[in-house]
Amino acid sequence: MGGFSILEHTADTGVQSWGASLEEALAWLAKGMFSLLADPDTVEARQSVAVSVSARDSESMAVDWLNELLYRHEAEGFLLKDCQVILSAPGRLEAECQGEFLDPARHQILTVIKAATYHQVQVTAENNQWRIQVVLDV
Amino acid sequence: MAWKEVLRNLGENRWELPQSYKEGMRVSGIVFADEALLELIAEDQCLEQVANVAFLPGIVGHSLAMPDIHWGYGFPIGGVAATDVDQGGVVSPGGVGFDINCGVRLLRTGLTAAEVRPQLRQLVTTLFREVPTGLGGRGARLKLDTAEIDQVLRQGAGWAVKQGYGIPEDLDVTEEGGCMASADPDAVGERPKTRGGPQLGTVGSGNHFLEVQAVDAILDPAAAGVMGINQPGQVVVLIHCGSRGLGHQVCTDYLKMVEAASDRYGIKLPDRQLAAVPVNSPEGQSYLAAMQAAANFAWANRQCLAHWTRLVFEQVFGRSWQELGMRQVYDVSHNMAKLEEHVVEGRKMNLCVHRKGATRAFPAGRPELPERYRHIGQPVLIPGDMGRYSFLAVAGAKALERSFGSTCHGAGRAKSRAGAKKLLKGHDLQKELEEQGIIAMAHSWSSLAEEAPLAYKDVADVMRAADEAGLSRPVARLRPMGVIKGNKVSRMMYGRTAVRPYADRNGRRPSRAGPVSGLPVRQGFRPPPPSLLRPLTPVRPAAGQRWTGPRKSAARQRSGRRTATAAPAPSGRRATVRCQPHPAGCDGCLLGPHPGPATPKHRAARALCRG
Repeated sequence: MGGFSILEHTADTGVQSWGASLEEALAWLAKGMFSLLADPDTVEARQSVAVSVSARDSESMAVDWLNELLYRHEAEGFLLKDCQVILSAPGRLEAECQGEFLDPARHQILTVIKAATYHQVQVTAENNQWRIQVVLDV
Repeated sequence: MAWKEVLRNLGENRWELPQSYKEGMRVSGIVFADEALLELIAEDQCLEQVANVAFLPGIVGHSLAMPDIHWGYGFPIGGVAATDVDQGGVVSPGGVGFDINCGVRLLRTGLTAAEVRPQLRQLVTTLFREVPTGLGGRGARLKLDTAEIDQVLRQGAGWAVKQGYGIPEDLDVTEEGGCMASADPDAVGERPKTRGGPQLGTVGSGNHFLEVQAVDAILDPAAAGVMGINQPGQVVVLIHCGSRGLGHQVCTDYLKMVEAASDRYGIKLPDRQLAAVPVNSPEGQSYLAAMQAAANFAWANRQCLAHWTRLVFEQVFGRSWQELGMRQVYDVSHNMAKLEEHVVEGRKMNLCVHRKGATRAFPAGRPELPERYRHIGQPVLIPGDMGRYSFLAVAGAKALERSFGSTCHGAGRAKSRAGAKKLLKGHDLQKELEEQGIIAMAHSWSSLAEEAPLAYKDVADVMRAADEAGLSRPVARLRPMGVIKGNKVSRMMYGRTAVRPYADRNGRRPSRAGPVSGLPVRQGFRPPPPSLLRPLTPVRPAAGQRWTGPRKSAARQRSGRRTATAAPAPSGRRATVRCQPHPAGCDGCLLGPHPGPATPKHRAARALCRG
């Protein structure tokens, strides 16, 4: 069973997620980040968006995955509710993201996240549990 | 306190972090702070980050920390590092940060606090409503097409002045004249423009603000007089914002590129966020050109906001902004890497000076300063928290020799955002500030609480430490009267419904589902071949934990978009997937056999295939 938690950092905020597979942990990581952007209860899964990311290792993958979603969020107004992640090849992530596009009447943007950073990024696997930690610049 | 055992007191608020502290440091570190500040500084890990910055190839002098230093990512916030460009010195996108050319602009007025007070609520409300989203009736929102965004990136604040948002005099009192001449819009790429283009003329969230302030005390009447600050009670406006999504995306894109490239240059650093490449490399030059373009965007942004502020004052006070005496005092950047000439140990050097959460502070005489300030030194704007005060300062005489002409940039956070909110639970912040005579407006309680005065150090302590260290000296203290935090969320800023994706010169627009677009390539730079890409592996995989090949999600299975997947990796070996030749147009890709020709997505997948 996966999940996420929000980490505190003097100037920034972090997201930690976990899951039975790297894919599951990555999916929870995205949900964790979007919980900072908008109240998840106000977001509905109305549309599906495909996202793909290439990265050279698992830490970069975690960071780039969040940065790709942030780009989608700011450039298109996408708010993520849920997602399914597949690591389709080494260094390749394919995801189906369900959510909707920003409607200022229903959604309040809680914070603006500038980017996910490589600072103290961690991807670990222990006892069949994958854990990811990413620090966000807010 | 452990840090006191490590740091050596050099006097005048300077503390040395010796090179022996960590193996691999190329120079020692110097922290500018007094003991009380040091207690706060030592609470988090920022001194460790000062040590990490000292690993940068080509670093000269010391890895510096300003008095407002706090924990950042990679570089500490309040960190300054200069590298020798001619000796393989590096440039680090992380040493500039995501908010490229975040900075502060100060406008003075001829109004007094007593004149403004009766209309303060109306003023703040109008500023809150009109400024960050563009002035509805008169200024009209900025809707820029491709070519115009490129003009902004090339011309900076000058572009805004040409549009009628300001006067040429504003440029004269802006760092670099509000424009980095060697900016290259093509180096920026399309994604930053798509993400950030619609955000031009917005304040942004977090610690960005627009404040109406009154001069509380004049500490250096001569210098204050030169800056047009003549009497206590004089009303000024302080604007703090940066390059918005455009700068964030430039940093994101280049960090990824530089992170991969630094391996090829053999640069090993203790924190990946510090990733750097030589200034004199194709990647370094490309980053600097893009960073400068983003810096120009930030200057144009502050120029628009400042001018719209003038128009709101006109509206509220019924006189033209010229009659109201609304002139610009100065505009400083506090997130930037700049190529500057400095004298180090008696030798002239071309340096790449990174200032991350630090303000340039050039003392009197430097040719970069506008003529009117050349005899007093560069004005420095140091915002404090919204409940106490901010400072107008001027560069100190020793700044050049001690900190490559740099000083602090603000109060520095003392508490995390969540920590501040926890402490303030149940408080009516707006009311409490109002009791102190401050009208604050934000779109939510939490965005106000995150920036509450108690979340910050006292900027007066920071100012004193910088003064005693000879970096900058205070000229006037400014007290907030009206505070605007953040932006109203508009569709405009979040693309899609109102804004079409940015198109490049050939009319191409980024594909919604496409792979990460390649960054523009200069001087023959090529991305690393696929053979250099490491496969996806965890840092510390537990025994028996291996990546076991692709999985099919329920959604994918239902949609039937995939008819086959690649074979799982043989157990016990590193997972690699072979390309399979495919007869129906696709020449073999990682997504397996499928009908139709190869799409860019599949070609990108193929490029990463190790088979």
